[in-house]
Parts: sequence; structure tokens; C-alpha cells
Amino acid sequence: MPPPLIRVPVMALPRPVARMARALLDDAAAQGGGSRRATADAEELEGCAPGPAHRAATAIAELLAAAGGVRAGTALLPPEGAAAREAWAAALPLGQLAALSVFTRGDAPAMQRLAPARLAEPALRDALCRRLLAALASATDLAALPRLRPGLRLMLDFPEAGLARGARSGGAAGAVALLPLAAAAQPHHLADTLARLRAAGWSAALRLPGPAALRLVELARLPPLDLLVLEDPGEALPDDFAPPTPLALAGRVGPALRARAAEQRWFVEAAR
Amino acid sequence: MIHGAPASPAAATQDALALAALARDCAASGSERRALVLHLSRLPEELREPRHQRQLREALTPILRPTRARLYELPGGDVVAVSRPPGEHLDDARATLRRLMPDVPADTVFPELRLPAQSAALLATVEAALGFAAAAPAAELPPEEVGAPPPGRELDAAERALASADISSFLRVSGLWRFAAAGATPERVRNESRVHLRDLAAVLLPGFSLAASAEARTRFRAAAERRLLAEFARPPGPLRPGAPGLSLPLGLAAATSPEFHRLEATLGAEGRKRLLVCLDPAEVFADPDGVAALAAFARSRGWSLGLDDVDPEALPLLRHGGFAMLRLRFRPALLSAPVAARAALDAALPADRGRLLLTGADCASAVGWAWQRGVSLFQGRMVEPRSV
Repeated sequence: MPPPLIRVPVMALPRPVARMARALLDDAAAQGGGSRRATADAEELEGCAPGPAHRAATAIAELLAAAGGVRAGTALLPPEGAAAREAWAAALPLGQLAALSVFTRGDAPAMQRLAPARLAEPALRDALCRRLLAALASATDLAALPRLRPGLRLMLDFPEAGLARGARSGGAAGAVALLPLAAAAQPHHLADTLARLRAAGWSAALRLPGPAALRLVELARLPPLDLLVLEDPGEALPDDFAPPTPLALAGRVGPALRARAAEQRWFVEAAR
Repeated sequence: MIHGAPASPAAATQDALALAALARDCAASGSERRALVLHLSRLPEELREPRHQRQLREALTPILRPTRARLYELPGGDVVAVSRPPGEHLDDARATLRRLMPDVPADTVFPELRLPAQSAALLATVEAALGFAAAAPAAELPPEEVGAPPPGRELDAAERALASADISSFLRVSGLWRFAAAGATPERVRNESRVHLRDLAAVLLPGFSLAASAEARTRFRAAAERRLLAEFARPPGPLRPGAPGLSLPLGLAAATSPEFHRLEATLGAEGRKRLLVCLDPAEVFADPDGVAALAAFARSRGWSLGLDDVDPEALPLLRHGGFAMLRLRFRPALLSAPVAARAALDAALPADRGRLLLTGADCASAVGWAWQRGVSLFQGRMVEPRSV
């Protein structure tokens, strides 16, 4: 077997960069023959004609150089086809679908979050959120979910549309509904959703999917919220960052940022 | 009506066109005027009898005589009095009207407008009088009905069909135009190609609604756009020498697909400089890391990244400095937005107005609204037919 012409260590790359690198390899294979092969930690392109392979290698080098500062991550990888994904999401055991974590403030537990599992492709997240909410409303499924800690405020991940019209909180007074930031792209709809949630007794929060979101959103211009949740900040929070709303840091939080969060009285996810 | 018999239809149309020209000139030059709009057609039936008209005439004639204000009588019976500032006599006229008709909501029936700030609202009044406002919404697509989402197997079948389908009849090609001043000829600065998803879904997923499932919509859109990109990557390609650049509104999935990489490799360095890819703000918010990676890649490869279909209310939320182009969606509600909302939107507009393009520019009031803000790039029926 000839040696591979291109080898990309995708497992060590951030998800979007890995996706683009795979796409470049696929394109080279389509143009110059050969095939893309997944190994334990990398994607390899072999048997490709030199021209397309060289072009792909150049583009991948530019991609990796350009995306040097983007974080890495691991997540559940759903299958490819729509029907297969639908079946996968429906069959995912509730124990795997849901993750319970605790947020501390200072040293004390202050909040708990019941969230869907992390996904390699966020498009399925809405479906998992809906399944999780349905499970909470079902006496049978409730037992399969992680056991909530009594006395701790509950935060639940919601689909973008929030609660179905007319839905009730079922005794969730004081609980926090966590909406995706994408809901803010249509402020009018978001305002409706927030009003419905509050009328049903929920507090409301927005979930920023990563520190890159801070470079894209004017936080001070968001509608009034009870909490902002920032996923995976690592250490990538600007020194002068001053959130206009109470802040919770989730996922990967670096040690220096944990120390700063303690000073600022921000919530920090302890473990998931 | 104010000074005698109602104007003839031809004279009223002439007046309307003259008033529209005045509004545009004020927007372009910054000249100040005050306008009192008398929506006499909105008066309740019981106030439209001849004796009421007579009373109105007697009350307003001394105040609005031609030396003090220019009167424009519009088709349909409405009247607009325009005066240079300070124009206190317009306040007197309004006070008289309030006295005569205390039960009539003056803000709605006798609004006062200040030009150039409210030129667009005045243009909207003229368009309504000329019947354009009634015609414009009829051409808009009705909102998509939210039915059942397509099941996975149907979606898989549609994706398989799209992999080899000829989707040229579902492609919408339009222009992005520079239109800087009334009387100027719009200049086509880019071509835009977009797959009409709703029509395509009606054929491939009949009876199902993409609006009911964000995931289904994203997948279907990606499959359709990847098909388009595959076609574009074949010779002769979408760019001709000397032709305008290309704008491609794409989902993030298509913009990171092998087909897109093939296209941008095919374009070469010179072609990539003429390529603009625009993403939906919702996708930008949903996957900021993905967008950051794509933006860095775009910079390294020499093509531009923009934002598509930005809701005006969302613009103040966006830190848009990293995007080469913002395509702002026009809404008639912009013309009557509260002062605070207007100020917030104006403050959020990019300082370099060359980065801003108004979509949905289907009426003169949209163009007038944009001109007031120094925007001269448009997409819509108001500019499109002029040069095609």
C-alpha cells in the first residue's frame, strides 16, 4: 500500500475545523481519486492524484494555521442519515441523553443543570432538549433521568422555541429555562418566548455556545435575562469582561478563570 | 379641497409625484421641512358630510394659504401641507383640527412629519395614496404554513434525489445594486444566486413543513446548496471576466462542504476576491466557533464573509465588525418605529455604509429610508427592473 499523501489529526482538532478538513479531503478524493480513511486519531487521504492532493494539502494547512486559536472538543457523534439520526435520538437511553451537573458559587453548590448530552453536530440539540423535557413530564421516564438534588435551583436546557404555547411549568417556579443564543437572531420571537416562559413561572437564561460568541454579540443589548451561561470558556475571557447579567461558566473552565469567577461571584460548573 | 373643489385625479397624481420628489430631495440634501398630513380619507363617516368639509375649509384656509405652506392634494382625498421651518402655522392648523374634531385621534389622522428624518414615512403616505402600498404586499410570499416535519426517511429520500437533481428551475438569480440618488441609474455590483427552498421542498417533500423542524430545514438546505455549489464548480463556473462579483447566501453546512471547497479552488485567487458568502445570523449565534473558523479560512483564502437576512431588531445585538457585508431586511415597521428603537438601530449601523445592503427594497419608502442613512446598496423590485 502506498503511503498516505495527506494525514490530518482530526481528533485533536476543534469540531468545525475537523469538519472542514474532512470536506477538503473528500473533495480531493472526488477530484483526484483515492479515498479518505479514518484511523484511530486521524483522517488519511490515500491514492489521490498529486494535483488535487496538493491543493487540498495547501488549503488544509491554511485552515489549520487560520484556526490556531479555536478550542478543541469531544462530543457524541450521531449517525449520518436523517432516519438513522431520528432513530438514534429516539433510542438514546435517557441516562446517556441527560447529564446532571452542579454549579457552585464560591465554594457552595448553588444550582443544578439538567442538559442534553454534548453533540458533535448541534443541529440535533433541539430534538434532545424536547425529549428531555418530555421525560421530565413522564412519571415512567423521570426515574431513568439522573436524580435531581433537592433544594438546589434547577436549570433546564430548552429548545429554541421555548415552551410550547400554552404549556405550564408543572411546579417549576424559580427554575431557569436555558435558551440557545440562536433565539436572539429573531428578537421579536425571543421576546414572545421570554414572556411565555415568565408567565409560566420560569426564570430565563441564554446559553452562549463558546467564547467566540462574545466577539459576535453585544451582551448589553440582549433583552433582560436572569442569567447568562457561557460554555467552555477555558481561559478565553477578556480581562475587562463585565457581564450585564449574572454569569455561569459551564464545561471547560481554566484554573485562572475559576479563581476569577470565585472573586466575581460567578457560578461555575463543578463537574458533569 | 382646502381651497375649493377636490383636485382632479390627474392633478392629484401630479401632486403626489411632486411630493415624492420633494421627500427624496430632502432626504438626499438634508433640507428641512415640516409636513402636516391630513388623512381626510380616514375620518369617520359621520365627519365626511359636506358641512364638515365646509367647516374644515373655513378653519384652515387662513392658516394654510399658499404663501405660508405648499399644499399637495393626493389621490383619495388626503392632503399634505408642507412648510419650511419653523412652520408654527402648521401647529395652529393642527390645534384647530383637534378643536373641531376632538374625538379623532390626531396622531393617526393628522400626523406631523419632519423632513428629512421622516422622509420615508412621507414617501409611504404618497405610495399608499397612489395605490402602491396595497400592491406591494400582494407580491410577497405568504408565511409558510407550519405542518408536520418531514420524517427522517422522507428527508433521506429528498437528499438522495438532490444529489443528482437538476435544480436550475429552483434557482433565483437577482442583482445587488448601487443606487445612490434619485434619477441616477442603478449599477449592478454583484449577482446573487439562491436556491428557492420552499418551492423545492414543495416538490421533494410534499405535504411536510420544513418550518416545523430546524434540523430538517438545515439538512434540506445543505443538500440543495451543495447541489448548487457542485454545479457552479463545473466549467464555465459562475464568474465571467468583467462581470459583477458573486454573492452566495449559504448555510454553514454548505459553506464548509467539499462542494464549496471545490468551487472556491476552481475560482482561483482572483475569482475568490469577487466571492461573497453570506450566513444567517441564527447560524452565527448557534455555532460561533464554526463561524470563527470559517471566517479565518475566508481571510486566508481571500474571499469575503457577510451576514444574510439580518432582522433590523437584531442588528444592535450583533458585533458585525468582522463581516464584509450586512444584508439588512427592510420592514415597513421601520418607518414608524419608536424614536428609541430608531436611535438604537441607527447607532448599530456600520460606520462604513458601503458594508450595508438593504434587502426587500420593493418600494420608494424603503429606498428613502436607506438614503436617509447613507445606504446606497439595494436588492429588491424598486431597483431590479430599472436595468434588466
